[in-house]
Amino acid sequence: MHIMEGFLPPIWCLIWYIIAIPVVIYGIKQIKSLVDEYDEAKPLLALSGAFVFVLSSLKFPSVTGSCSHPCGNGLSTIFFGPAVTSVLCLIVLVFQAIILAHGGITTLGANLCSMGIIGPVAAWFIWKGLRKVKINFSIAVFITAFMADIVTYIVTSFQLALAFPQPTFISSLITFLGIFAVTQLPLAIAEGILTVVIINYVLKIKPDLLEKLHIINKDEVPTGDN
Amino acid sequence: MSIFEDTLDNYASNNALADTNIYAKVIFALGTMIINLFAQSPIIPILIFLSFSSITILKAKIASRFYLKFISVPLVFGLITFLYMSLFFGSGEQILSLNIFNWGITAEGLNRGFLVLTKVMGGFSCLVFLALTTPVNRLFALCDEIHIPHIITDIALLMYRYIFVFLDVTLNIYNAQKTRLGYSGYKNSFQCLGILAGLVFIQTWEKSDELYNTLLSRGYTGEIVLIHDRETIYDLRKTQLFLIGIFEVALVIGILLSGTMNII
Repeated sequence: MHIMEGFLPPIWCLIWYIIAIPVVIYGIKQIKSLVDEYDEAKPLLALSGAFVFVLSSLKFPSVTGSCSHPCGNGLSTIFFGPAVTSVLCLIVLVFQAIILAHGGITTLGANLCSMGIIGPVAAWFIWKGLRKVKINFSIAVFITAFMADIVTYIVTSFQLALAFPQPTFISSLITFLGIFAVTQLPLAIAEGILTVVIINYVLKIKPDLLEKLHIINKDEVPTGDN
Repeated sequence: MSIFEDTLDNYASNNALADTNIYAKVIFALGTMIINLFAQSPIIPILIFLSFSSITILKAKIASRFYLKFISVPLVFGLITFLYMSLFFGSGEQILSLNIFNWGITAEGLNRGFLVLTKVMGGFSCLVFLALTTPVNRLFALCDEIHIPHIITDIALLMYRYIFVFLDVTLNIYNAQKTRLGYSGYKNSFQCLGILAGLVFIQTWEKSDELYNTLLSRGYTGEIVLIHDRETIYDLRKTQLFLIGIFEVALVIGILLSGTMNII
């Protein structure tokens, strides 16, 4: 979903930057308090970031000056919530732009809004909602990761359609959505399954950590023979 | 995953421009990128692309084959976009009809598609210039210098390290699975992939924990100290600034002059 350097008109670059900046500042504050409170979170933060980086580098072209790939933002949303995820995604996107020349600097704000902010925020609400209705843990994880990915792409479609409303905004949006849907649905399902596998492993091996991050309740910590 | 091979890192730290002041490079690339955005005609983006490509190949001495390989990916993306936009993103009379579904190429769409293609390639060449000539540790030092919060550079540094640990672990497990007849059937492949995905995360986590403990045992107090190698903004030479300034001003004038000149 990385919109390429030079693809967006200047005004939209600016608008997305302005939307992204306050969220990132809030995220930095949250990270600071998280690390102060719980020192071991730092490696996990960096690891989630590396996970997002690796997954979202596995790209292949889709027809819209953008590309399709898994995002990995669902996992860090479940771990840390959307504000922290936005900071992690910021670092990832800067890395990808400067090291792999994937994405771009002027389009950074737009990419951050889709992958780092709106996708994770939506996923966060879905996650909280699903946990409240006490749905099966794995299914909740799957739906969250799946939706984080899908919402990210819907936002990207909106961004592209807003930048190129030809002939009309709606028709442009439909074409962009249509193209992403073909490539993204299977990818999102794969990412959902991957995230479930990973979180279940973490649950098995380091349940105490998940409990400290308030992801699971005390009674959900599996006992030794699990 | 050829893009992750260490050749990229290699080039970034072993090229003729690696020791040039990082501010010069960043200002040069970022400034051009921003000017590139305002282009309304393909002429200036093409010029940007040509000049940045020649600087990267001739001045920084990046192997042209590697450069071409690097640039081919966005070029394919850009060409697809070009084709797509010329078909669907224009109104008015069709200059070439495909005779299916009433699809056809319009002059407006063609112009728009070509402009976007050249702008993408122009911006991309700036990014590649930055990617291929600047070692990552210098970038971290730069972040430190412009007062980006320490916690961010720290996490970024750790993340950068973990990416390589991640790839290393993945390759190890993958090879181990292969030698034990993994990935030999449809069902088997899925099973292997699941194991790989879960294990990679856990193993990387363990290794990253080790790394973090190593840092702690060497007196890490939440701040990785970076070396600043005489690269402040005050070390920028006047000639460098002057040349960059002239180049950017020339681009702005070029954009104003070329206006909305188009291919059709």
